[in-house]
Amino acid sequence: MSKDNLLVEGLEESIEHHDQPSGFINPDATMLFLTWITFFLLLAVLYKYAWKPILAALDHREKHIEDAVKNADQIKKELEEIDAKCRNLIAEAEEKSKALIERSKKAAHEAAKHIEQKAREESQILIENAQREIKNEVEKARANLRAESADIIVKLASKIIEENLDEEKNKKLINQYIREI
Amino acid sequence: MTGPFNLDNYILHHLNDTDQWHLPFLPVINLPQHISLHGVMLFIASLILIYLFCFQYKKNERVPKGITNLLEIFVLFVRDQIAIAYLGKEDGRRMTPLFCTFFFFILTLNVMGLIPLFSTATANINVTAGLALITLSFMIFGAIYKNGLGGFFKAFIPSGVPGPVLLLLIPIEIVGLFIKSFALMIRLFANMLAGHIVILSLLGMVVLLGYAALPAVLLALLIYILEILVAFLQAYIYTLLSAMFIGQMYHPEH
Repeated sequence: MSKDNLLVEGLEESIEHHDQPSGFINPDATMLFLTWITFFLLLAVLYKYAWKPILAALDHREKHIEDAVKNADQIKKELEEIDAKCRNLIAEAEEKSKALIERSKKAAHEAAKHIEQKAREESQILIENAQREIKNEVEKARANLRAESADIIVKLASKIIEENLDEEKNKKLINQYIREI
Repeated sequence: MTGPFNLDNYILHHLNDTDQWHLPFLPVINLPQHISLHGVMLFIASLILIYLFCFQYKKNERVPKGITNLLEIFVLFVRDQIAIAYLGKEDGRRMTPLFCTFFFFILTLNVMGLIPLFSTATANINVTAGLALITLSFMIFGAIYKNGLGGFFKAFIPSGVPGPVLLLLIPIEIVGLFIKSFALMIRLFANMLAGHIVILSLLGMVVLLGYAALPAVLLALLIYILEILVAFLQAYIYTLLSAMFIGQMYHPEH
Protein backbone atom coordinates (compact mmCIF):
# COMPACT_ATOMS: atom_id res chain seq x y z
CA MET A 1 0.00 0.00 0.00
CA SER A 2 1.59 3.23 -1.10
CA LYS A 3 -1.06 5.77 -0.18
CA ASP A 4 -0.51 8.88 1.86
CA ASN A 5 -0.05 8.65 5.60
CA LEU A 6 -3.41 9.95 6.70
CA LEU A 7 -5.32 7.46 4.64
CA VAL A 8 -3.13 4.56 5.78
CA GLU A 9 -3.56 5.62 9.36
CA GLY A 10 -7.30 5.72 8.97
CA LEU A 11 -7.37 2.37 7.28
CA GLU A 12 -5.20 0.79 9.96
CA GLU A 13 -7.45 2.22 12.61
CA SER A 14 -10.52 0.73 11.03
CA ILE A 15 -8.79 -2.61 10.54
CA GLU A 16 -7.92 -2.62 14.20
CA HIS A 17 -11.55 -2.28 15.17
CA HIS A 18 -12.76 -4.56 12.47
CA ASP A 19 -14.27 -7.08 14.82
CA GLN A 20 -16.28 -4.51 16.70
CA PRO A 21 -18.90 -2.17 15.31
CA SER A 22 -17.12 1.03 14.30
CA GLY A 23 -19.80 3.18 15.90
CA PHE A 24 -21.60 6.25 14.70
CA ILE A 25 -19.85 8.93 16.72
CA ASN A 26 -16.26 7.63 16.83
CA PRO A 27 -14.10 9.55 14.43
CA ASP A 28 -13.43 7.19 11.59
CA ALA A 29 -11.24 8.35 8.72
CA THR A 30 -12.33 5.50 6.46
CA MET A 31 -15.93 6.57 6.65
CA LEU A 32 -14.92 10.17 6.05
CA PHE A 33 -12.95 9.27 2.93
CA LEU A 34 -15.68 6.94 1.79
CA THR A 35 -18.14 9.83 2.07
CA TRP A 36 -15.87 12.09 0.04
CA ILE A 37 -15.18 9.49 -2.61
CA THR A 38 -18.84 8.64 -2.98
CA PHE A 39 -19.95 12.24 -2.95
CA PHE A 40 -17.45 13.45 -5.52
CA LEU A 41 -17.98 10.44 -7.76
CA LEU A 42 -21.72 11.05 -7.55
CA LEU A 43 -21.23 14.74 -8.19
CA ALA A 44 -19.07 14.02 -11.24
CA VAL A 45 -21.44 11.46 -12.73
CA LEU A 46 -24.56 13.52 -12.06
CA TYR A 47 -22.89 16.69 -13.29
CA LYS A 48 -22.04 15.13 -16.61
CA TYR A 49 -25.14 13.03 -17.19
CA ALA A 50 -27.84 14.76 -15.18
CA TRP A 51 -27.39 18.30 -13.91
CA LYS A 52 -25.87 19.74 -17.05
CA PRO A 53 -28.52 18.46 -19.46
CA ILE A 54 -31.31 19.01 -16.93
CA LEU A 55 -30.38 22.62 -16.22
CA ALA A 56 -29.82 23.27 -19.92
CA ALA A 57 -33.23 21.79 -20.69
CA LEU A 58 -34.82 23.91 -17.96
CA ASP A 59 -33.21 27.06 -19.32
CA HIS A 60 -34.26 26.10 -22.80
CA ARG A 61 -37.83 25.54 -21.73
CA GLU A 62 -37.95 28.76 -19.73
CA LYS A 63 -36.72 30.64 -22.77
CA HIS A 64 -39.22 28.83 -24.92
CA ILE A 65 -42.07 29.78 -22.59
CA GLU A 66 -40.88 33.37 -22.45
CA ASP A 67 -40.75 33.51 -26.24
CA ALA A 68 -44.15 31.90 -26.48
CA VAL A 69 -45.64 34.46 -24.12
CA LYS A 70 -44.03 37.28 -26.05
CA ASN A 71 -45.27 35.76 -29.29
CA ALA A 72 -48.74 35.43 -27.87
CA ASP A 73 -48.72 39.11 -26.93
CA GLN A 74 -47.66 40.06 -30.42
CA ILE A 75 -50.30 37.85 -31.96
CA LYS A 76 -52.88 39.38 -29.67
CA LYS A 77 -51.86 42.85 -30.78
CA GLU A 78 -52.00 41.85 -34.42
CA LEU A 79 -55.36 40.23 -33.89
CA GLU A 80 -56.66 43.42 -32.36
CA GLU A 81 -55.44 45.39 -35.36
CA ILE A 82 -57.08 42.96 -37.72
CA ASP A 83 -60.25 43.15 -35.69
CA ALA A 84 -60.27 46.93 -35.88
CA LYS A 85 -59.66 46.75 -39.61
CA CYS A 86 -62.46 44.24 -39.95
CA ARG A 87 -64.83 46.44 -38.02
CA ASN A 88 -63.88 49.42 -40.20
CA LEU A 89 -64.49 47.39 -43.32
CA ILE A 90 -67.86 46.23 -42.07
CA ALA A 91 -68.86 49.79 -41.17
CA GLU A 92 -67.77 50.99 -44.59
CA ALA A 93 -69.66 48.21 -46.30
CA GLU A 94 -72.71 49.00 -44.24
CA GLU A 95 -72.53 52.63 -45.20
CA LYS A 96 -72.10 51.73 -48.83
CA SER A 97 -74.98 49.34 -48.78
CA LYS A 98 -77.13 51.92 -47.03
CA ALA A 99 -76.32 54.47 -49.70
CA LEU A 100 -77.04 51.90 -52.37
CA ILE A 101 -80.39 51.04 -50.84
CA GLU A 102 -81.20 54.72 -50.50
CA ARG A 103 -80.32 55.30 -54.10
CA SER A 104 -82.29 52.33 -55.33
CA LYS A 105 -85.23 53.40 -53.21
CA LYS A 106 -85.11 56.82 -54.78
CA ALA A 107 -84.88 55.32 -58.24
CA ALA A 108 -87.78 53.05 -57.53
CA HIS A 109 -89.74 55.96 -56.19
CA GLU A 110 -89.03 57.95 -59.28
CA ALA A 111 -89.91 55.04 -61.52
CA ALA A 112 -93.14 54.60 -59.67
CA LYS A 113 -93.93 58.27 -59.99
CA HIS A 114 -93.11 58.09 -63.65
CA ILE A 115 -95.34 55.11 -64.15
CA GLU A 116 -98.12 56.78 -62.23
CA GLN A 117 -97.79 59.90 -64.29
CA LYS A 118 -97.92 57.92 -67.46
CA ALA A 119 -100.91 55.99 -66.25
CA ARG A 120 -102.62 59.19 -65.33
CA GLU A 121 -101.85 60.67 -68.71
CA GLU A 122 -103.07 57.60 -70.46
CA SER A 123 -106.21 57.49 -68.46
CA GLN A 124 -106.68 61.21 -69.21
CA ILE A 125 -106.36 60.43 -72.87
CA LEU A 126 -108.79 57.56 -72.53
CA ILE A 127 -111.24 59.77 -70.70
CA GLU A 128 -110.86 62.46 -73.28
CA ASN A 129 -111.41 59.98 -76.03
CA ALA A 130 -114.46 58.64 -74.29
CA GLN A 131 -115.77 62.13 -73.74
CA ARG A 132 -115.14 62.97 -77.33
CA GLU A 133 -116.92 59.86 -78.42
CA ILE A 134 -119.80 60.61 -76.11
CA LYS A 135 -119.95 64.09 -77.50
CA ASN A 136 -119.90 62.73 -81.03
CA GLU A 137 -122.62 60.28 -80.15
CA VAL A 138 -124.65 63.02 -78.55
CA GLU A 139 -124.12 65.14 -81.60
CA LYS A 140 -125.08 62.27 -83.82
CA ALA A 141 -128.09 61.55 -81.67
CA ARG A 142 -128.99 65.19 -81.73
CA ALA A 143 -128.69 65.27 -85.49
CA ASN A 144 -130.76 62.17 -85.79
CA LEU A 145 -133.27 63.62 -83.40
CA ARG A 146 -133.34 66.78 -85.37
CA ALA A 147 -133.93 64.93 -88.58
CA GLU A 148 -136.52 62.75 -87.05
CA SER A 149 -138.28 65.62 -85.34
CA ALA A 150 -138.36 67.43 -88.67
CA ASP A 151 -139.96 64.40 -90.14
CA ILE A 152 -142.43 64.24 -87.31
CA ILE A 153 -143.18 67.87 -87.58
CA VAL A 154 -143.77 67.46 -91.28
CA LYS A 155 -145.99 64.51 -90.52
CA LEU A 156 -147.77 66.44 -87.84
CA ALA A 157 -148.14 69.39 -90.02
CA SER A 158 -149.61 67.28 -92.73
CA LYS A 159 -151.91 65.69 -90.20
CA ILE A 160 -152.96 69.07 -88.91
CA ILE A 161 -153.59 70.21 -92.35
CA GLU A 162 -155.56 67.09 -92.99
CA GLU A 163 -157.71 67.63 -90.02
CA ASN A 164 -158.17 71.33 -90.66
CA LEU A 165 -159.66 72.22 -87.39
CA ASP A 166 -160.07 75.40 -85.41
CA GLU A 167 -157.20 77.01 -83.71
CA GLU A 168 -158.02 75.69 -80.32
CA LYS A 169 -158.39 72.20 -81.58
CA ASN A 170 -155.12 72.61 -83.42
CA LYS A 171 -153.37 73.60 -80.30
CA LYS A 172 -154.85 70.67 -78.48
CA LEU A 173 -153.91 68.35 -81.21
CA ILE A 174 -150.38 69.65 -81.40
CA ASN A 175 -149.98 69.19 -77.65
CA GLN A 176 -151.45 65.74 -77.93
CA TYR A 177 -149.05 64.74 -80.68
CA ILE A 178 -146.15 66.19 -78.90
CA ARG A 179 -146.99 64.12 -75.82
CA GLU A 180 -147.38 61.12 -78.03
CA ILE A 181 -143.96 61.43 -79.46
CA MET B 1 -28.22 -11.04 21.39
CA THR B 2 -27.88 -13.20 24.41
CA GLY B 3 -28.70 -12.52 28.00
CA PRO B 4 -31.43 -10.23 29.36
CA PHE B 5 -32.74 -7.53 27.04
CA ASN B 6 -30.79 -4.33 27.36
CA LEU B 7 -32.41 -1.23 25.84
CA ASP B 8 -29.08 0.61 25.62
CA ASN B 9 -27.48 -2.18 23.64
CA TYR B 10 -30.61 -2.59 21.55
CA ILE B 11 -30.56 1.07 20.48
CA LEU B 12 -26.80 1.18 19.95
CA HIS B 13 -26.92 -2.04 17.97
CA HIS B 14 -29.29 -0.43 15.48
CA LEU B 15 -27.44 2.85 15.23
CA ASN B 16 -23.91 1.52 15.04
CA ASP B 17 -22.10 1.14 11.81
CA THR B 18 -21.24 -2.54 11.32
CA ASP B 19 -19.47 -4.82 8.92
CA GLN B 20 -22.53 -6.95 8.38
CA TRP B 21 -25.78 -6.40 6.65
CA HIS B 22 -28.69 -8.33 8.11
CA LEU B 23 -31.42 -9.06 5.61
CA PRO B 24 -34.48 -11.17 6.43
CA PHE B 25 -34.51 -14.77 5.10
CA LEU B 26 -31.00 -14.31 3.74
CA PRO B 27 -27.68 -15.23 5.26
CA VAL B 28 -25.85 -12.33 6.89
CA ILE B 29 -23.87 -10.44 4.30
CA ASN B 30 -20.31 -9.86 5.46
CA LEU B 31 -19.19 -6.61 3.95
CA PRO B 32 -15.67 -6.24 2.56
CA GLN B 33 -13.01 -4.51 4.67
CA HIS B 34 -13.12 -0.72 4.91
CA ILE B 35 -16.63 -0.64 3.55
CA SER B 36 -19.06 -0.68 6.43
CA LEU B 37 -22.83 -0.75 6.35
CA HIS B 38 -23.07 3.03 6.17
CA GLY B 39 -20.62 3.00 3.28
CA VAL B 40 -22.89 0.57 1.47
CA MET B 41 -25.77 2.95 2.15
CA LEU B 42 -23.78 5.73 0.50
CA PHE B 43 -23.23 3.56 -2.59
CA ILE B 44 -26.87 2.53 -2.74
CA ALA B 45 -28.00 6.14 -2.41
CA SER B 46 -25.63 7.12 -5.22
CA LEU B 47 -26.91 4.34 -7.44
CA ILE B 48 -30.52 5.34 -6.73
CA LEU B 49 -29.73 8.94 -7.65
CA ILE B 50 -27.85 7.97 -10.79
CA TYR B 51 -30.74 5.70 -11.79
CA LEU B 52 -33.30 8.42 -11.14
CA PHE B 53 -31.52 11.33 -12.74
CA CYS B 54 -29.64 9.64 -15.55
CA PHE B 55 -32.24 7.10 -16.64
CA GLN B 56 -35.66 8.08 -15.30
CA TYR B 57 -35.46 11.83 -15.76
CA LYS B 58 -36.61 12.66 -19.29
CA LYS B 59 -34.54 15.72 -20.07
CA ASN B 60 -36.07 16.65 -23.37
CA GLU B 61 -39.72 16.40 -22.54
CA ARG B 62 -41.45 19.65 -23.30
CA VAL B 63 -44.17 18.94 -20.76
CA PRO B 64 -42.65 16.91 -17.90
CA LYS B 65 -44.79 14.13 -16.50
CA GLY B 66 -44.63 11.73 -13.57
CA ILE B 67 -41.26 11.22 -11.91
CA THR B 68 -39.60 13.87 -14.10
CA ASN B 69 -42.11 16.45 -12.95
CA LEU B 70 -41.59 15.49 -9.30
CA LEU B 71 -37.80 15.68 -9.50
CA GLU B 72 -37.93 18.86 -11.52
CA ILE B 73 -39.85 20.63 -8.76
CA PHE B 74 -36.96 19.93 -6.39
CA VAL B 75 -34.27 20.83 -8.92
CA LEU B 76 -36.02 24.10 -9.70
CA PHE B 77 -36.48 24.79 -6.00
CA VAL B 78 -32.78 24.21 -5.26
CA ARG B 79 -31.79 26.34 -8.25
CA ASP B 80 -34.12 29.29 -7.67
CA GLN B 81 -34.79 29.33 -3.93
CA ILE B 82 -31.42 28.18 -2.66
CA ALA B 83 -28.55 28.63 -5.14
CA ILE B 84 -29.65 31.77 -6.98
CA ALA B 85 -31.27 33.28 -3.89
CA TYR B 86 -28.07 33.19 -1.83
CA LEU B 87 -25.29 33.24 -4.42
CA GLY B 88 -26.65 35.59 -7.02
CA LYS B 89 -27.66 34.76 -10.55
CA GLU B 90 -24.26 33.94 -12.00
CA ASP B 91 -22.66 32.01 -9.13
CA GLY B 92 -25.97 30.47 -8.23
CA ARG B 93 -26.38 28.94 -11.66
CA ARG B 94 -22.81 27.64 -11.63
CA MET B 95 -23.15 26.15 -8.15
CA THR B 96 -26.57 24.59 -8.67
CA PRO B 97 -25.14 21.13 -9.49
CA LEU B 98 -23.28 21.07 -6.17
CA PHE B 99 -26.34 22.05 -4.15
CA CYS B 100 -28.58 19.70 -6.09
CA THR B 101 -26.16 16.87 -5.32
CA PHE B 102 -26.04 17.91 -1.65
CA PHE B 103 -29.79 18.07 -1.41
CA PHE B 104 -30.63 14.82 -3.17
CA PHE B 105 -27.75 12.88 -1.65
CA ILE B 106 -28.67 13.87 1.91
CA LEU B 107 -32.38 13.47 1.22
CA THR B 108 -31.88 9.96 -0.17
CA LEU B 109 -29.68 8.95 2.77
CA ASN B 110 -32.20 10.37 5.26
CA VAL B 111 -35.16 8.64 3.62
CA MET B 112 -33.24 5.37 3.29
CA GLY B 113 -32.70 5.52 7.03
CA LEU B 114 -36.46 5.37 7.47
CA ILE B 115 -36.80 2.26 5.33
CA PRO B 116 -36.33 -1.02 7.18
CA LEU B 117 -33.29 -3.08 6.09
CA PHE B 118 -31.35 0.06 5.33
CA SER B 119 -29.50 2.07 7.94
CA THR B 120 -29.03 5.78 8.32
CA ALA B 121 -25.69 6.93 7.00
CA THR B 122 -26.45 10.57 7.89
CA ALA B 123 -26.73 9.53 11.54
CA ASN B 124 -23.03 8.73 11.36
CA ILE B 125 -20.95 11.74 12.30
CA ASN B 126 -18.17 10.79 9.89
CA VAL B 127 -20.53 11.08 6.95
CA THR B 128 -21.88 14.47 8.02
CA ALA B 129 -18.34 15.59 8.78
CA GLY B 130 -17.33 14.65 5.26
CA LEU B 131 -20.21 16.67 3.84
CA ALA B 132 -19.54 19.65 6.14
CA LEU B 133 -15.87 19.64 5.16
CA ILE B 134 -16.89 19.90 1.53
CA THR B 135 -18.95 22.98 2.39
CA LEU B 136 -16.04 24.37 4.43
CA SER B 137 -13.59 23.84 1.59
CA PHE B 138 -15.92 25.72 -0.75
CA MET B 139 -16.21 28.49 1.85
CA ILE B 140 -12.43 28.76 2.00
CA PHE B 141 -11.01 27.70 -1.38
CA GLY B 142 -14.02 28.74 -3.43
CA ALA B 143 -13.86 32.20 -1.90
CA ILE B 144 -10.08 32.41 -2.45
CA TYR B 145 -10.55 31.32 -6.05
CA LYS B 146 -13.29 33.89 -6.56
CA ASN B 147 -12.08 36.90 -4.58
CA GLY B 148 -8.35 36.25 -4.38
CA LEU B 149 -6.43 35.76 -1.12
CA GLY B 150 -6.85 39.43 -0.15
CA GLY B 151 -10.52 39.38 -0.89
CA PHE B 152 -10.90 36.22 1.15
CA PHE B 153 -9.36 37.83 4.24
CA LYS B 154 -11.26 41.04 3.69
CA ALA B 155 -14.43 39.04 4.25
CA PHE B 156 -13.48 38.79 7.92
CA ILE B 157 -13.33 42.56 8.36
CA PRO B 158 -16.82 43.96 8.80
CA SER B 159 -17.14 47.42 7.27
CA GLY B 160 -17.86 50.45 9.44
CA VAL B 161 -16.40 49.02 12.64
CA PRO B 162 -13.80 51.02 14.60
CA GLY B 163 -10.23 49.63 14.89
CA PRO B 164 -10.10 48.33 18.46
CA VAL B 165 -13.33 46.37 18.00
CA LEU B 166 -11.83 44.73 14.94
CA LEU B 167 -9.17 43.16 17.17
CA LEU B 168 -11.96 41.24 18.80
CA LEU B 169 -14.17 40.76 15.77
CA ILE B 170 -11.70 39.34 13.29
CA PRO B 171 -10.79 36.27 15.40
CA ILE B 172 -14.49 35.71 16.08
CA GLU B 173 -15.25 35.86 12.37
CA ILE B 174 -12.46 33.40 11.57
CA VAL B 175 -13.57 31.01 14.29
CA GLY B 176 -17.13 31.53 13.06
CA LEU B 177 -16.16 30.11 9.70
CA PHE B 178 -15.29 26.79 11.32
CA ILE B 179 -18.13 26.89 13.81
CA LYS B 180 -20.62 27.27 10.95
CA SER B 181 -19.30 24.13 9.28
CA PHE B 182 -19.16 22.34 12.60
CA ALA B 183 -22.77 23.29 13.26
CA LEU B 184 -23.72 21.96 9.85
CA MET B 185 -22.14 18.63 10.72
CA ILE B 186 -23.73 18.38 14.17
CA ARG B 187 -27.16 19.59 13.03
CA LEU B 188 -27.65 16.93 10.39
CA PHE B 189 -26.06 14.19 12.49
CA ALA B 190 -27.99 14.99 15.67
CA ASN B 191 -31.32 15.40 13.94
CA MET B 192 -31.12 12.09 12.16
CA LEU B 193 -29.74 10.32 15.23
CA ALA B 194 -32.30 11.75 17.64
CA GLY B 195 -35.31 10.64 15.62
CA HIS B 196 -34.00 7.13 15.38
CA ILE B 197 -33.19 6.96 19.05
CA VAL B 198 -36.74 8.03 19.89
CA ILE B 199 -38.27 5.44 17.55
CA LEU B 200 -35.96 2.69 18.79
CA SER B 201 -36.63 3.59 22.43
CA LEU B 202 -40.39 3.40 21.88
CA LEU B 203 -40.12 0.09 20.07
CA GLY B 204 -37.66 -1.19 22.64
CA MET B 205 -40.26 -0.56 25.32
CA VAL B 206 -42.47 -3.15 23.66
CA VAL B 207 -39.71 -5.72 23.96
CA LEU B 208 -39.05 -4.63 27.52
CA LEU B 209 -42.59 -4.34 28.88
CA GLY B 210 -44.60 -6.61 26.60
CA TYR B 211 -48.19 -5.84 25.60
CA ALA B 212 -48.51 -3.06 28.17
CA ALA B 213 -46.32 -0.92 25.95
CA LEU B 214 -48.35 -1.43 22.74
CA PRO B 215 -49.51 2.24 22.63
CA ALA B 216 -45.83 3.07 22.22
CA VAL B 217 -46.02 1.52 18.75
CA LEU B 218 -48.61 4.12 17.76
CA LEU B 219 -46.37 6.79 19.19
CA ALA B 220 -43.44 5.36 17.25
CA LEU B 221 -45.55 5.55 14.10
CA LEU B 222 -46.27 9.23 14.74
CA ILE B 223 -42.57 9.90 15.33
CA TYR B 224 -41.85 7.99 12.15
CA ILE B 225 -44.18 10.30 10.21
CA LEU B 226 -42.46 13.26 11.84
CA GLU B 227 -39.14 11.74 10.78
CA ILE B 228 -40.25 11.81 7.13
CA LEU B 229 -40.75 15.54 7.51
CA VAL B 230 -37.39 15.86 9.27
CA ALA B 231 -35.66 13.90 6.48
CA PHE B 232 -36.82 16.47 3.92
CA LEU B 233 -36.35 19.39 6.26
CA GLN B 234 -32.76 18.53 7.19
CA ALA B 235 -31.77 17.96 3.56
CA TYR B 236 -33.27 21.37 2.80
CA ILE B 237 -31.69 23.08 5.78
CA TYR B 238 -28.26 21.63 5.08
CA THR B 239 -28.40 22.76 1.46
CA LEU B 240 -29.82 26.16 2.36
CA LEU B 241 -27.25 26.88 5.05
CA SER B 242 -24.40 25.67 2.83
CA ALA B 243 -25.57 28.05 0.13
CA MET B 244 -25.93 30.85 2.66
CA PHE B 245 -22.46 30.34 4.16
CA ILE B 246 -20.77 29.96 0.77
CA GLY B 247 -22.72 33.01 -0.44
CA GLN B 248 -21.48 35.01 2.56
CA MET B 249 -17.91 34.15 1.71
CA TYR B 250 -18.41 34.83 -2.01
CA HIS B 251 -20.14 38.17 -1.50
CA PRO B 252 -18.78 39.43 1.83
CA GLU B 253 -20.43 42.85 1.62
CA HIS B 254 -23.89 41.49 2.22
